[in-house]
Amino acid sequence: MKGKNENKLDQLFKDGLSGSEDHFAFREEDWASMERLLDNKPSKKAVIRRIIYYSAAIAALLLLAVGLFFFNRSDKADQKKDQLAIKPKIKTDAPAPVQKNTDQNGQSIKDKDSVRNVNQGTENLAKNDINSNKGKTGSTSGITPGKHNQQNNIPVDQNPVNPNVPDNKTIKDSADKNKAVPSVDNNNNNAVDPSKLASKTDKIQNNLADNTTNPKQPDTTGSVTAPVQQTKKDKPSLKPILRTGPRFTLAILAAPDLNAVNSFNRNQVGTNFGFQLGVRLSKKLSISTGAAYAIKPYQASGSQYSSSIWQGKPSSDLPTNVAANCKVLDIPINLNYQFYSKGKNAFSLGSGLSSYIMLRENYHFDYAYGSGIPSYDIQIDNKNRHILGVFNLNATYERKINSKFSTIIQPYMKLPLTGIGNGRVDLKSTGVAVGVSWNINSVLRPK
Amino acid sequence: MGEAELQQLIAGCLQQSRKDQKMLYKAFYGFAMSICLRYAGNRYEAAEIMNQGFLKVFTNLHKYDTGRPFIAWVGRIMMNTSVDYYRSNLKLSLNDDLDAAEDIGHDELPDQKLNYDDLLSMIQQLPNAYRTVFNLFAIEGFSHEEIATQLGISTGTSKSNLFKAREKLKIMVLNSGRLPDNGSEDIRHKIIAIGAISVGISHLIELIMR
Repeated sequence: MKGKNENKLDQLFKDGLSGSEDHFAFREEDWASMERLLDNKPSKKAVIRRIIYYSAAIAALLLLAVGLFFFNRSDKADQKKDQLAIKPKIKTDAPAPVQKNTDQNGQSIKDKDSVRNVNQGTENLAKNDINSNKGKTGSTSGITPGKHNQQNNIPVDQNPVNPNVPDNKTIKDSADKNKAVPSVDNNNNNAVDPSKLASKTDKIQNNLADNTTNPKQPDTTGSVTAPVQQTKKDKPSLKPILRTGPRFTLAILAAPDLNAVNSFNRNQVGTNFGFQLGVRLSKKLSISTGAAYAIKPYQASGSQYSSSIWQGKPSSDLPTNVAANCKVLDIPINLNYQFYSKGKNAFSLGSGLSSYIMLRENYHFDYAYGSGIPSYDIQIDNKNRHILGVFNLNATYERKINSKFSTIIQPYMKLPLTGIGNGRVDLKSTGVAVGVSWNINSVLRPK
Repeated sequence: MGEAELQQLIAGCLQQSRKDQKMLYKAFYGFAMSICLRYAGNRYEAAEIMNQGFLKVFTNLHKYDTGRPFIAWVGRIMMNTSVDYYRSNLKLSLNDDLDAAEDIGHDELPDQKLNYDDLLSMIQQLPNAYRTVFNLFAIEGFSHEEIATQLGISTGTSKSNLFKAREKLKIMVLNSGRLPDNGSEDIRHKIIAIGAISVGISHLIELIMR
């Protein structure tokens, strides 16, 4: 190493930096942390890290438990309803209404498209998607019958491996096409005004409120088969991505959630926690989906809460205040663009759509003193579903802890495209989610 | 510290005497710190590395060969701990004119005297990968082959990292102290990015409120 010995720069540093032992006075605080090490007590940093890991694990387990609970519950309900349902009719008429739904209802077509984009969450989403179709038709019939319909539908979407589906694929496809035309008429019969039907669910609700006993209604039960087929067909298209090796991440997030109706002047704080599964498509683009359980309390005025009960009533008869507390399962699909990444830090912006599944809605209505109407409460379970009805915007800051984990700070905003909940309110949410992201590939790679 | 005194301390530490452990820690604090600071990015990391090093010293004290100088053994442990600490991000860079690495530092450097703190802060401004290789090569005197095996990198990477470390250090020496562009530019980029995001979001919120 001739060069080494002659290198002035190296020499400068070697001389300058050696013999500096006396430069540092002993510090008690360093010894204190040394003692902690000696006593085998983990350092503060490690404690914090451990707390994060444990809480993340607990959150994941809780979520799983909650998910399973709801899954099982609807399963049981189905079995009961199944017995009541008129089976032969469902089978023969099944595919037609779907065609009707997708053709007629622009939104549900969108839903399907998005299913294609999702990759991983496909199965989940397919289910939701299905739910959307059924949810929409289901809710047309008011509270109790609506429930019936919903639950009737569920068995089909929970058995995507329905033996009928793959076998009859081609036959059904053609059948769909053939049946599409008559079914449109069918729908027109149901709807008072078809153009309204195409627009929004809340309108449908009012229009069709009288048609609860319509015998055609149960037909929608079978409608689920078609979307299932769709997702099945779409699956092969995911394979190329899988072959090139997408990067998967699993993030667990929790956030305080500011909820408000119309503007953020009167906001209330809720909570929101869930997980997010991300698939990296390219260096900068990624798709994420997941599920979050959110508790959304909010306040609204009577005019903001639209209900069929007080339609046409003068504004003086409306409640002065509506206090709501909604438990929502939020299933987002977002596309993220990473615009800055250097060292351990990365920033990205994301946008997409969320589906809200309203698990429980509690409303408290207050009336003005003069009106003479007492205040009252209502509770609605599992009735409203807003499939891809919420627009998401978020910015994400990610900082790597090590090769497997990173912390995430994610300010976000959720803006409804449809009215949310039973009152079809314009419920906006914003907040900052904090969480931990786990790079799944760090485990998958060795295989 | 006399040799006998040191042996006594070591014996005490072997019996897990906390008092003797503290004495030993205190006695080698400055020495250990001076090593760790060279490898670490800042004083906090240096203290963390040093304590991990001392933990190894205390737990492996029975393995210490009394025939050799104790201080060298401690120094070696501190160095290894430092290298281990940054092992995960040592594989930086490659593919440069590797032979050019030898040329840097031969040409004129100002004759001004730089003090210890200046030199230390320059070395600490280097990325971990460059700093580690520069320390091992220029100060500890290892060859590229030795560095490569110790760090688990190729000799090419070792040479390249040394080259880049020298390049940056030279600029800093010539400017006596700071890396002129990179550091500040990085911060400027960050500030601009954060500013842009916040302006964008506030506009968005304003739009939505309307």
